[in-house]
Amino acid sequence: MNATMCNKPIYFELDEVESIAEEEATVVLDYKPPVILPADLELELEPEPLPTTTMVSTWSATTTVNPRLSSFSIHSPWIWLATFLGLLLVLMLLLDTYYLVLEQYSRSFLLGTLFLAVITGITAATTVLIWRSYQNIIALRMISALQQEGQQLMTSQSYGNAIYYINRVAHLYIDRPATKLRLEQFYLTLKDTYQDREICALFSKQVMKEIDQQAHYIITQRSKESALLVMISHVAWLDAVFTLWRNIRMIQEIAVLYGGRPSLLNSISLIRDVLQNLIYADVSEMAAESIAEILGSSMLSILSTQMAQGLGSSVLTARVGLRAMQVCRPLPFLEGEKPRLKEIRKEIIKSLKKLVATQELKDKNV
Amino acid sequence: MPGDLKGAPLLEFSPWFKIPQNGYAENSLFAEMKRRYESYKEHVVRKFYHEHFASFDRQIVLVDVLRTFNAGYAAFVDMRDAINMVLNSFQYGKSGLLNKLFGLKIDKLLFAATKADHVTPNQLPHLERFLHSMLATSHNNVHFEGVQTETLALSAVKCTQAAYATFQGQKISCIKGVPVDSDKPVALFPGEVPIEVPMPVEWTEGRFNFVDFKPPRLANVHGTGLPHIRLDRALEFLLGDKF
Repeated sequence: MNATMCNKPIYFELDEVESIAEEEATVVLDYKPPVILPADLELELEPEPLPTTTMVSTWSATTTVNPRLSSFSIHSPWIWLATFLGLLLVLMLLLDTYYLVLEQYSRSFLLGTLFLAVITGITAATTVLIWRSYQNIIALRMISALQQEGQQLMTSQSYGNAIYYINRVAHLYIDRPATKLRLEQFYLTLKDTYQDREICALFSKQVMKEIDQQAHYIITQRSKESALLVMISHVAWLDAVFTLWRNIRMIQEIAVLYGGRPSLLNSISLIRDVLQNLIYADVSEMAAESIAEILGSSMLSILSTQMAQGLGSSVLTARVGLRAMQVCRPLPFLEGEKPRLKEIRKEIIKSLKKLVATQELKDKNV
Repeated sequence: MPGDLKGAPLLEFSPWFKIPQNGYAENSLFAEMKRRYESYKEHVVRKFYHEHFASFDRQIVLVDVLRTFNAGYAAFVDMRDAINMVLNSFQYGKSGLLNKLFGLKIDKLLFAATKADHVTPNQLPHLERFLHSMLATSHNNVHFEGVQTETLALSAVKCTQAAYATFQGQKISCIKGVPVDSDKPVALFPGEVPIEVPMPVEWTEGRFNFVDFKPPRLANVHGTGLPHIRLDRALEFLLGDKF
């Protein structure tokens, strides 16, 4: 087309123009017309609210796997390097044990069987551990799949899909009598006009709130304990070991509370937080010693450095606990419901102050 | 209130068919009528507004959208313009300390689409969005003044029940209730509520068929009250922060 032809508009006759086949003008109703249903038609009211065993089998068979993509992709050369190095290590180990057992057999039959038995024991234990952690990974993926579905339900304007999702979440808690009571109350208050968002919000407020409160209590207790432990001990590496142990226990407790299976290694953000906590425990001990040297050795300075160190460690523990709550909770938090670090910090400060006051009182009386 | 002035000359009006175009004498009947009308506007209507609405700081606008669907496009335009005009006459904004002496401003406004039990529950978000798009001008003006607004589809009495039915091979969600003019329960799918206002040519006769239903028969009202849709959320939004 040359430029001269495009200066003026060109009109065509309507019947000379060919339309594309899919866009043929047909009378298409783009709305649904009203329908009066015949009087004898069978109506189904809402679907069964209480969870049944059939629903259990459906979800366990179809857990969708949605792994969180970390910063490495599957085909990165780092992953290849790590995989092949691991393979090399395992092969060397296997070969070594094989030659060891052969050598022992060539020396004497008894020694050979002994070593074989020991090697078999080790292999069996390793297999069981691998199997358990595989099950943990599956459970964690189920919980994060539930979380994603809950997030989608809460932000979209849909209707009618929430009750199946809530049944699956409720199935995790069906064995606890207190929660079962609240569940039944929740099902009684459900009405047929509630949208998905509202059903999820109601479930979160009525049933999950109690579990959240228990988790909050666990986190506060553990934070206070970790503050005390760090304050009392003066050996840096002991601090680190204690903190690691206490954090792992706390994460396990929270995971069991929310219905998942306890394991630390399944969430990268959890590992990061725990490592931060460990490093702090180690470093703060040395920092506290040097600060104590600077400030002199009066009672107040020692107490205040210890208290600051304990407070720091307890705040980090509380952060680990809150992150664990977020990871393990099957229904994502609503906007106003997320537990705040501020409240836990205030409680810890209060209890630490009380502790220091009683300590001073004791010292005065002595 | 205008009703208290019964019998006063202020309220004596009569229709006037020919407005004089080229001016009128001071002591003519038309001038008297005009004076009466102006003083009615000044002393009755304006006074009523000031006295009655000065002590409000929360407002709810109840709109019966389904009636306009049944009635047609002209009724819809009428209702929309009337509501927008009425909303222009209120004072919006955040009330400070001085406002408590000289007249409060409205700082929370709830647009409510009533009779939400006459549509199927999965259409409730569509109803809310339709109301929002109908009153968009007022909503924007009010939002600009810093007023918190929300749009809800609510119903003070829930007269129907939601259900699913399989009809001609399709699964339709419908509502079940007793219509006002009959005794037997009926199940119907009353039509899809559009999200945007449809074009005037699309408001055809048989497109919408929203039927009025009888209230439910209840054995015990004193215990739990009448069943409703979202009335508690409306109250929480409007009055929740006062307690």
